[in-house]
Amino acid sequence: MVRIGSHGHGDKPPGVVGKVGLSLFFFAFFAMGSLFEVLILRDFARAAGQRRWEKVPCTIVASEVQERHGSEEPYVFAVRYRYEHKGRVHEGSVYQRGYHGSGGYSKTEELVRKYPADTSTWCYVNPVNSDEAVLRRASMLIGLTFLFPLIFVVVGAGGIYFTWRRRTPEEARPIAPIASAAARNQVLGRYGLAAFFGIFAIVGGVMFYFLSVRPIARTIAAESWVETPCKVLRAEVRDHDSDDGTTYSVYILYQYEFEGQTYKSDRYDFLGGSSSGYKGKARVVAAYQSAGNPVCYVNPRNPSESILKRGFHAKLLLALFPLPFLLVGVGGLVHTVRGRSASPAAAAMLGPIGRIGPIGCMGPTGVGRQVLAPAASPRMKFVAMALAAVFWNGIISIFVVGAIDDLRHGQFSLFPTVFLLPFVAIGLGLIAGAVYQLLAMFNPRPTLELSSGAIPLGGAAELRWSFSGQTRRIKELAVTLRGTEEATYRRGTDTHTDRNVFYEMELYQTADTVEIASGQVGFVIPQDTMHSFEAENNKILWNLELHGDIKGWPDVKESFKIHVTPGNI
Amino acid sequence: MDKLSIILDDDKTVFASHEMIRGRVEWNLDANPRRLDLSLFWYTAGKGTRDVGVVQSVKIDDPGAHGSKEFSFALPEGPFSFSGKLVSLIWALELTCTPGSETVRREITLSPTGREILLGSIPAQSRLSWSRSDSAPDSVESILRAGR
Repeated sequence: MVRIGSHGHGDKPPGVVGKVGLSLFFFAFFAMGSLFEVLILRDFARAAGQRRWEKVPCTIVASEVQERHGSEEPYVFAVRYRYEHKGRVHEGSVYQRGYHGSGGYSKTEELVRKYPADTSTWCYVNPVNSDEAVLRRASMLIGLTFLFPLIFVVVGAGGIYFTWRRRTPEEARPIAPIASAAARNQVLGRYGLAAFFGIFAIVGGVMFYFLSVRPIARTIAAESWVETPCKVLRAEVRDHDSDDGTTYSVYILYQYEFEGQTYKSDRYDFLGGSSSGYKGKARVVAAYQSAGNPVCYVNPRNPSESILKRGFHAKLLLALFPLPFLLVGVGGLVHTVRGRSASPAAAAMLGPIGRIGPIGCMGPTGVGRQVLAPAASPRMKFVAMALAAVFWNGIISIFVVGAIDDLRHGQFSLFPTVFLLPFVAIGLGLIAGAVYQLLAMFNPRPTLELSSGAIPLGGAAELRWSFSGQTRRIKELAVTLRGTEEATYRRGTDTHTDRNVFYEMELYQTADTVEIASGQVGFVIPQDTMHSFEAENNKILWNLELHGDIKGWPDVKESFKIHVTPGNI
Repeated sequence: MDKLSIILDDDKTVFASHEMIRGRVEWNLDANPRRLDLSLFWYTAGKGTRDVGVVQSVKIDDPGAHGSKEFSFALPEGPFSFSGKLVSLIWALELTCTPGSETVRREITLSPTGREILLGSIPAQSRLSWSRSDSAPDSVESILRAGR
């Protein structure tokens, strides 16, 4: 019996040196994740501990915004409050444990407005130490971040375990029980996948609300805010260090009067955040520094709320950034939930023979005349290519625009530009592909009809074809019967599919325009070959390929799957 | 020493579609297993990730340390045993012991020709292309060819 050597289920195991190296690598994951877990657990325990603190009435004695120069968080909510505990009067000044200040004036002033002087509120006192009190207890939401470093801990520990575990030689491992377990795991895996996409959708939805819906809604609402003269107190470009380099933001502190009261704010627009590109922001700051009569827009229902820039502007498009996450999450969830009730592997476990013929385009085991559907219609090919081009170029354009912006301002850097070039080339290729598929949509469209929907090995069938559209544009036509084996495998995180053509027969070839427009041909499937077979990763496919040559235009290339059965129908 | 074995009637290992496989399983174990499982299935080997299709399974509960039992399975129509450049499909009977790692597997062939079907490979350079001007060689297919 002929066998193929490689089973494609794992490479040669590493030696001791390799295992030690792998273990060190995974240990770094494990140690880093564990360290973060310890820190998170410590903060969570402290926050949970504050739930036992006693809630007592207190009076705000003083409350103001203090400025601390030279700090990343220059605005501090400075508060003093008085409370009584165990028969003694105490004075506290801690707003929240771990609070150090804020980068924005408006946020800090919101706290001043929430806790104004000479008002009563509640504070929380440590029952063990009456001198220790806070206005606001630490959030227990920190516990949710426990899951993120857990991934590193699991990857690290799992990696070490799988590096050193003893494996039974593949030949000695049972197949059937493993397959049964795998089928069960695949069903469980569907739930896992649904949960993954569900989390993606929830996170995407939350991000979309806070980063997209809310800023855009507030921008629209600000159209009715009252235009008010304001005085610029400070205008500067702030820089922020991050893993991706330095980013910049516009910072303008301004003061205005509304209904006899003076307010301060530092809200420039509703998006906030920082990005690369210094010069554009410097121009905005310079304009406000030199502005004779700057105006801001004040919310008449809450005059402490104001903004300098309202209306639609290009930066608002960035607010749509979380949309793909939401779409991927929802799309993945719908696809997973509405997908096949059982995976192919699971189906193979249940059915008596797995699937011995293609199910997709022709129906299960259709007999009698069948109109064949192409594997992919020209419209679908165009849509798929256009979506890929839009998605790819949409991402790449952000970097290209940044690079062009840098170039325009004399900040050309060679390495990032060279690094970007292959990605731009792929983007251009996708655009060219989309244009090609668009042109191909206007080609004559073939219709193929087969005398039988299921042809047994050694059986004969008759194929009829006809074209609609401008058939005369096709100069030559070829119809080919092709048998292909397909093997899908995973290498690392990538999935590859290899194909091998084991049978090919040209059934018809003509340059006659009448014969091209419509014709028929008979053919026989060889007796000593393999019937159609489709499992999850391995397939035997039989196709009728149609190739019409059009000079100076994309050719007609269509593939039609046919169903070859093991025996007589 | 643990021993499991699958004995096929007449030592027959090649079968056609819908044919019966008959035989006997024997076990001689050091301890009493909880269960023995005999499965008829196909699996793929080669470049692709393995696919498995279990056709039928028989469970022998509390079989004792020693014993034997006859079995018979009806084979389905397919898929046929084959071997290509990328994929092989192999039929097998497998007897496993629970608890324990003892396993025995007996490969069989399901084919209408009496042997595994071999799939060749058509190199890309000799594949049919549009520029090809010569017609296909005489064959059943070319004889059957009929234009409009």
